[in-house]
Amino acid sequence: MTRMTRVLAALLPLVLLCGCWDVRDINKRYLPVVMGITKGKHADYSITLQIPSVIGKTQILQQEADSISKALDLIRTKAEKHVDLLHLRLFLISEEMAKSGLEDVMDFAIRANDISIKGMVAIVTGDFDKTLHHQISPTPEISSYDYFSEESGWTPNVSIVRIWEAFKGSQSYTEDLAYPIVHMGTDTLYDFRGSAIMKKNKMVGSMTPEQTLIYNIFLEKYTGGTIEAAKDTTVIIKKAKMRHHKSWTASGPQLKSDVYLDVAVTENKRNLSNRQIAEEIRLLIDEKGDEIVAKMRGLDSDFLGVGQIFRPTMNERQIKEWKTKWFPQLKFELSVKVNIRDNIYFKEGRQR
Amino acid sequence: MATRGWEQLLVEKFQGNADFAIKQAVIAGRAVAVYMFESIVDLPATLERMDQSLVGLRPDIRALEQLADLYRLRADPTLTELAHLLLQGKLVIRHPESGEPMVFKAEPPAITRPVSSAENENRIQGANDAFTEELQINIGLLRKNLKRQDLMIVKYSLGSTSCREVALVYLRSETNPEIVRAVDDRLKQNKRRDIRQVDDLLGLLGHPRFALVATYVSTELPEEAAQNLLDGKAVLLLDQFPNALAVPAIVRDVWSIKTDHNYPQTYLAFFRFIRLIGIVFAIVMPGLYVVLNSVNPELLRIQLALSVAKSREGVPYPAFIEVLLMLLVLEMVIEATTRLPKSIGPTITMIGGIILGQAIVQAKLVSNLLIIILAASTIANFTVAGYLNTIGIRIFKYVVLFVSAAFGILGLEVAVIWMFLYFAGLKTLTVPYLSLSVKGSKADE
Repeated sequence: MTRMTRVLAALLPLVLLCGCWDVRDINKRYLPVVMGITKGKHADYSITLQIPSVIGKTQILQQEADSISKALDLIRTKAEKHVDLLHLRLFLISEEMAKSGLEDVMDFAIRANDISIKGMVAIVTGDFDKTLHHQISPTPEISSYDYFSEESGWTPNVSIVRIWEAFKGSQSYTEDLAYPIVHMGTDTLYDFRGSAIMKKNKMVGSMTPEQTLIYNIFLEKYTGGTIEAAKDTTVIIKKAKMRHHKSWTASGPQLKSDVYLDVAVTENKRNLSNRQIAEEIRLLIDEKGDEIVAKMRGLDSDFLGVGQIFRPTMNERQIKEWKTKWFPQLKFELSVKVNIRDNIYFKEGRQR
Repeated sequence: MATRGWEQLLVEKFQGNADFAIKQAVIAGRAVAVYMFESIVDLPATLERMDQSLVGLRPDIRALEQLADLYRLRADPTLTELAHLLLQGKLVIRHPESGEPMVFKAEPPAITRPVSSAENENRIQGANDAFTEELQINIGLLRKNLKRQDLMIVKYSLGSTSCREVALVYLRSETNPEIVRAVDDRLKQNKRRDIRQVDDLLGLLGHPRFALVATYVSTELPEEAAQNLLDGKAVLLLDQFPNALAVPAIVRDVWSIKTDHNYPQTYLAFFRFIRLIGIVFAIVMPGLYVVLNSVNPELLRIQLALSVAKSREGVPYPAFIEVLLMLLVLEMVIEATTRLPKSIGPTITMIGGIILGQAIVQAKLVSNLLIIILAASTIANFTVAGYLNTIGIRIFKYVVLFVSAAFGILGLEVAVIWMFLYFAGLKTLTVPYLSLSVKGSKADE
C-alpha cells in the first residue's frame, strides 16, 4: 500500500464515522428556553415550550400526551424546525403537578441527554396556561429566564433551584428543598409568591417571600437584599455568614446556628441608634427563623438541609433514618449577630 | 590537464554562445589570450585595475604571475571547474609561456542592483537596508552588522550542470556546533546536486518535504539575520537570492521578530502577546464558527444564539459550506493581490471589499457574522511573525475547520492538540521544533 492510500484509509473513517450529516444549523433549530409542565386535560402531561426570537415575539408550542417524551415527540412532528432542548433553562411546573409528585419530571430532566442540568425549576401558582402564554412586550426574548438569572433580574428574595439540585434533593436522605413559586405578574412577567416546601418529590407547603429571604440567608445565598428592620428603618444586607455548632447527645442531634450579618442602613427616619437597629434586626430574624423552624417541624421537611450538616458524623443507618427518626428529634436554635458596617449619614445620637 | 588542448576544449564546450569571447589583451606588457563571458565580465575595467596593481613593477612575465597570485583562485583547475569559474564571471588567461590556464578575478559589469531598502518586510524602528542578489554584498552587509571576530563564513559551490554559490554564516561562539556540522556535512556530501530554488537547498539540508510550518526563517533584513545569528542559528546565503535563510526555525519564531528588541521590554512583551493571541484567533475562529453554528450551539449563551440564528436566517448553505466558500474567496483575494502589479492591486482590494463586505451578505449567501469572523481571522493571521508562518497557519485553519465540522468542539480541541503533537515530532538539523532556544545550552532545549 502506498503512503497516499494509507493516508486516505486513515481519513476515511473521519468521513464515515462522524455523523456530520445529522448536524443542523442554528437557524434550522428551535431553541426553547422555558418548558412548562402541567397535567393535561385529556392526557397525563401537557407540555408547553416557549421559544424566544430576536424580534421579540415568543412562539409557544403545546402538546398533550401520556409521557413527557411522547409530548415532545409530537411537538417535534408538528414543528417546522428541529426542536432542540439544549438551551432549556427553566422548568415551570404547575402547583397541581407539584403537589401530586414530580418524580417523573425529575427523572426525565436528568435522563434526557439534551437537557442541561443547570436549568432552573419553579412552580407556578394560579392559572398555568395564562402564565405560560403571558407576554410582556418591553422585555421579550428570554425574560422568563432572566427573571431567575443571577446576572440579571434575580433578587435575594427569590429562591433558585437548579435541576441537578432538585434531583439531588428528591433523592437525598438528608435534605429537602424549597422551590420558588411564581404567579402571573401584572406589570412584569412574574410575581414572586414565596417558596414551595418540598418533601421528597411532593410539594407539602409554602413559605412567604419574607421567609424565603431568611431561608436564603440560611443557605448563604444572600447578597444585597433589603429588609425592613422596624417601622421606618430599612437596611441592606451586605454579607451573611452562617456558623453551625452541632452536637449529638443521647436525646438526639442538636444544632446551634449563628447568623452573622453585615448590614448597611439605608433608611432611618426615626433616627434609631446602631444598637437599636441591630436589636430590631435580630428580633425580626429570630421571629422569622422561628416561623421557618416551626414550618420545618410541622411539615416534617428538612428543607434547610440540616441533615447535610450532620451527615459527616452519622453512620449509614443513621443517614437512612434521618428523615424519619432523627430529624423530628432535632433541637434547633438560631441566634443572630448583626454588625452595622455603614450607617451612611445617620449620625448616632443626633436629635431631630 | 594537457597543456595543449584546454583552449580547444573550452571553445568546443561553449561553442555557439554569443557572449563567450576570446580576446587579445596586453597585461604586464605581454599580449595574452583572454577567455571570458562578455556579459558578466567588464574587461576594460578589469584590465585597468590590473594595470593599477602593476604600477611600479617591471612589466614582464613575473609581474603577470605575481598578479595571478593576487587574483588567481585555484591552480591547475580541471576543465569542468574551469567552465564553472568562467560561468561565475572569472577571467581565464593563457599563460604566455607554459600555456597553462590562469584564473583571474574580474570586475563584474553593472548588472547588480545596489543595496536598497527592504520592500516586503516593513519595520517601524530598525535598520532599513536589505539584502541584494549579490552574495558578496550580502556577506558584506552581515559583516557590517556584526563586527565580531568569530563570524565565520564558509562558501560552497554547488551543482554539476549549473553552479550556485552558497555561503554558510555562523558565529563560532554562539551557534550550536551540531547545527554547523550538520549543515556543513550535508552541503559537502551533496556538492554535485543542482540548486535552483530554495526548496532544492532545503531538500539537500534534509528539511521535511511537507512541513506545516516553515523550518527556516527567511528574511531580507541584515539586522534580522544578524540577530538570528546571535540567537544561535546558522544563516545560509544563496547567490542571486535576496533573502537570508536562518536555520533551523523553532516555535518561537512564529511570534518573535528579532527587531522587536529595538523597543522597550514592555512593548516587546505586548507585541508578542498580541501575536500569540492572533495565532489562536486565526487557527480557531473559522472552525469555532462552524462548531457554534451547527454542531454545538448549546455552547453559546441563549442571547447570542438567538442573534446568531437571526443573522443566519435565510442563508441557504450549511455553515460548513458557507465558511469554506468564503475562505476560498478570501484566499483567492490574498493570492491575487500578492503578485499583482502595484497599480492593479487596489482594484482587487476594492472589488474584494465590495464582495466580502456588503454584497454577499445582502444577497443572503452568507451571514454577516461570518464576515466578521473571517475578517477577524484573516487580520489575526497576518499578525504572525514572518510571512512563511502566516501561510502555515492559513493551511492549518482548514484542518481545524474540517475536523470541527465533523466532530464539533471536541474535534476542534483534537485538531489543536494534533498540531502540538506534530510540532513535538518535528526536528530540523538536530533541533526539536518545540524548543525555545537553538543554542542547546539548557537540558530541555
